[in-house]
Amino acid sequence: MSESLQTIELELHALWLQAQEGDAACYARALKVISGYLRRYLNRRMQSQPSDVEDLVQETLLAIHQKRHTYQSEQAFTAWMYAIARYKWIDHLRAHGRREALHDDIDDWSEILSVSGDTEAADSQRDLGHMLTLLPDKQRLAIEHTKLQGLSITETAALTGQSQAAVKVNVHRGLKALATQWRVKP
Amino acid sequence: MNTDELIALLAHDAGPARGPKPQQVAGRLAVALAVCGVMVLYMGLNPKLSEFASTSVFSLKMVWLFAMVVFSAALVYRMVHPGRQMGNAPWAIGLALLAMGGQGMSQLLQAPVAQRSALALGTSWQVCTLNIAFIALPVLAALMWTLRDMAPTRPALTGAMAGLCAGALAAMLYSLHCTENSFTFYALWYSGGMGLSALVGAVLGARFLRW
Repeated sequence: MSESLQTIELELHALWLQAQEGDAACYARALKVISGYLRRYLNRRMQSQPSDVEDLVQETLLAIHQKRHTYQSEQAFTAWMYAIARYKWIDHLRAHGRREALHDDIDDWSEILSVSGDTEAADSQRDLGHMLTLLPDKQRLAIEHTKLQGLSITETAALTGQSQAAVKVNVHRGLKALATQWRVKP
Repeated sequence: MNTDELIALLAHDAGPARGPKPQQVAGRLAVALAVCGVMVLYMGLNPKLSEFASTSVFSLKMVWLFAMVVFSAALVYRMVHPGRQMGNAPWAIGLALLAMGGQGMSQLLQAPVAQRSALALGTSWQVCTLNIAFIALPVLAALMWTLRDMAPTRPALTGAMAGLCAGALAAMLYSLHCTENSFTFYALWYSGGMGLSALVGAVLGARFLRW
């Protein structure tokens, strides 16, 4: 266990610091690696609610993103990452524990049988399209163009008539608003 | 939504992580402390403050309160950074409280029985605890505002420690008003004020520091 934790630490620490310099590709790679570890961590702890694992992976990823300034570079990255995962897991148990106990659906069984591998990204129960419609237009457009249509900041700025700085700000604010909505499932 | 989609979305927002700006935090605290100052002025300064301030009882109390501020602030700082251990701060806080408690107890036991109630209750025991907790509110609000941007993995406990810190700061300011001069009084009612503030902080933390 401690040896594998060390491996994860070595892999992630450097990647993360590099990503924080502002390298988007690096950041995407770091998040991808992190999501694999989160999935493994949560799969192990949520065997009775496998359908919630991917939701929680995403929620934790978003938390890691939004609270990334709380990571201190001299600290073990894995300690920080798992502390957040643990917080989100416990928060989830607190919010859903009672409901899950009463809820015994036959679908739960089929989902146990079809549970995906640890490193394979899966769908959560959240509908991004629906959540986006709840955002102010400026933020929604900024996110739709940059992410969903894969345009650059410059292209989005030209298309929407917003300045490049405004596009960045709107993507940022939109993500923040999405995070707030995160708890309310569509 | 697929997790890979989310990752691509987040990667667009890559860049150096920005936390609350130190100037901003300092600004909020300064405003809060100014409000506290006005509250204390409204209650009225101790008319014999300059005399009283040079006594060893006063300086010892201030050192004690300052230590409480530092220890609880250190603990809060650690608690809002996920994965950090609490370290020695809880022990330091406990020891500081115990030290004043012991001092107050020994003062009480050494005094003649007839004077004991005066030592313990002074003239302001009914208002001291509430006053301190009240003065602590602006500081607590400023702290909570900042802590919301951090990542406390124990929201209620973090709120409580922020309340303790605000309470200790408030008690230092309240000392400019307070005329009590027994350790027994401080151990009981000043600790009570900080404790009450911590309780308020715990309630607020459980409510507002979740993320």
